[in-house]
Amino acid sequence: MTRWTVTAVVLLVAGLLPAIVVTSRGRLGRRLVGYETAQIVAVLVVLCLAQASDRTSYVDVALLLAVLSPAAALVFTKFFTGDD
Amino acid sequence: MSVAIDVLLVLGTALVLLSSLGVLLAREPFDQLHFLAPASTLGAPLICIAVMLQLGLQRTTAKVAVIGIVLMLVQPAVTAATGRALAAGRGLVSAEDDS
Repeated sequence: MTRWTVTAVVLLVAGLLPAIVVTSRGRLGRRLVGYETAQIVAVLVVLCLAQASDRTSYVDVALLLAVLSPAAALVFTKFFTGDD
Repeated sequence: MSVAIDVLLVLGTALVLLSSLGVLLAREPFDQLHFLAPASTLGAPLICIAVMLQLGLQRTTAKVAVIGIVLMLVQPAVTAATGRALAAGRGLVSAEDDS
């Protein structure tokens, strides 16, 4: 396993999993913040997986995710009306 | 160079993991928002720099730099918008108040 594979697995298990847990339960405000955390970690996981597989074209996926996911989060904040 | 990449990866990953755990453990959404900053403004750019060092000078390196810059600059704006939406949802500020 290369350093990139290890980093991707560590980020998936210890980084993305807690964010998904926060996103999937609790009140809306907490879920929204969990979703934003998951976005950041997901970009980094895809980036590390691109390095691990040694296919630089996969970096495009991480780039698209980094550019589009904040827009998605802003849409959620726009229509966020309350914490319940 | 290999040591530098390892150090950057470990530091960046540790910061992202601490942020993620902080978001998991914090009770209030406003407290959770504070934990987003280290991951996006420090952790993600450190990992991107590590990838850039690994890649060397090529076109993909620029893409990775853009990823780091976007995460570093856009995410704080998203965090601010989220905080404002949370505050508006609790009636702390008016939803129409742009000031």
